[in-house]
Amino acid sequence: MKRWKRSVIGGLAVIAFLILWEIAMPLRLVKVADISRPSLVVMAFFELAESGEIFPHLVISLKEFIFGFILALIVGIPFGVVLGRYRLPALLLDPLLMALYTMPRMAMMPLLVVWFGIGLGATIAVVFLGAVFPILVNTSVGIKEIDKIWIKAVHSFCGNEWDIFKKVLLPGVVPQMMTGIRLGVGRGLLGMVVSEMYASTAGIGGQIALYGNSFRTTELIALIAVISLLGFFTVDLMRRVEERVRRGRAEV
Amino acid sequence: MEDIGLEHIELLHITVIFPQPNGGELRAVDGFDLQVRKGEFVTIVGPSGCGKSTLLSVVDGLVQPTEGKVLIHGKRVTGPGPDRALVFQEFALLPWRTIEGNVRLGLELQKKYTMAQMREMVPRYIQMVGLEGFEKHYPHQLSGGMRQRVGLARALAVNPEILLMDEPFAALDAQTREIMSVELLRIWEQEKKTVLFVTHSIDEAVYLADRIIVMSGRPGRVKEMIPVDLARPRSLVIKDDPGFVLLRRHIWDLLEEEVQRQAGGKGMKA
Repeated sequence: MKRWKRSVIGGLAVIAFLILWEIAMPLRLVKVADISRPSLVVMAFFELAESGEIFPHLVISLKEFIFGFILALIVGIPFGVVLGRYRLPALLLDPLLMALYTMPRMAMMPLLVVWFGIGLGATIAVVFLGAVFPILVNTSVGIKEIDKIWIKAVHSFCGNEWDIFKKVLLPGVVPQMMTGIRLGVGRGLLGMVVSEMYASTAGIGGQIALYGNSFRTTELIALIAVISLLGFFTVDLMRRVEERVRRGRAEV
Repeated sequence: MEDIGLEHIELLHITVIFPQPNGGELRAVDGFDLQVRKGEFVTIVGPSGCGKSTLLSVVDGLVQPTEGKVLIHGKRVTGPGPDRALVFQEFALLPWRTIEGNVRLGLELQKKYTMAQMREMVPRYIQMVGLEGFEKHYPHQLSGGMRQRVGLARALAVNPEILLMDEPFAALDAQTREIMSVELLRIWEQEKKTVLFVTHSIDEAVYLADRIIVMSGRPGRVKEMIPVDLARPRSLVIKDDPGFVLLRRHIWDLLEEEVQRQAGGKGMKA
């Protein structure tokens, strides 16, 4: 099927859904409370943007996410490389990492609030904890799966461990590492929202909690849309970075 | 390095024992002796698992022999060096590098040249193996034969005195294989390298060699050394020469004997 045909069919479904949603409440198609209407949501969205009310919260959320995520990259990538390349650290740390990885991190929320206080600190910690494991684990698996014959070739041409790292491991691990980073974005955003809802009144998550408590459905849905957009743009940004790295890799 | 004798490479009573995960040990090579003259083309044939490839790794310095030593120009080998280059059966090209980038790898690792110097050196070797026009291609865009041309160019680019070739054409189809042998001889006559070439193919071994080393089954020892007196330069027509046919027959018999012996040995143990 042609691409445009597929988009038209997909688009029709979205439009049908929006129409149904729009008329559901006036026509009393649903019994439950307020599900709002797309037209109201769009208006609320622009109101939030126009009044500027949303921007300080967006800035806080972004700050938390970016700090936590960069921290996760700084820790996850080097640790992943070392655990993938060397036997002893892997034997030493694997059980500990697996325990942390499988533990529901939201269960740590109260503890993190005790340690870092309400606000920025706790959320950065949650974003970090959410993002660091997929990055670390995928990087380490990627390093392990690199073809040993390339390492042998570098050795044979008198290369040392640093050369192996630079010319084989790092460029070779890129695809798997990027998979980990993309997963990390999702986990990080999730952590950000939940943490703000739980431990803060600031940030998009805090605002969601606030509007939720006062049953303001329209604004709630508008805020959820903001988070969706945030996720969409971050993943898109990652895709661009990946593309760039892939092209740059040819020069390594 | 002073050339203090006719021998370029000397393998003195090389024994390689690999410890096994089950606590036992595997004797891959057992008391292997070989002298190779400068510029000589030596092929090594033997049954599977006779330690042919291990032997090349020892000469390259990637594997330390359990006993014995390798001398190059009388100097003991302790690790890989710029005087030797290995060509791999699996090509071992980096898939994210272009052909140019792959050929440059060995030069980069020597850390003697600037990028500009390397860019000047690389085209000569790409041309030598007949890959002009493919500089910007990636390995996955090339056929197997072309990929091994890249592997060969990468090895030649560091201008080694010794080429170590580990079943380099084993992954190629029969016809490509023959073409690559012809190409290799052409380059060898022109570049005057000493070559140690491991192969499964008797035809290849006879066609290329000044001397053939037939190895015994595991643990690998020298079973017989056979000088090849066929005239050079050689073309593929030489494979119909009576001398060629006799040599092929003789090596075939030697190898069959080894295979039989190994099968018999296993039978007795069972």
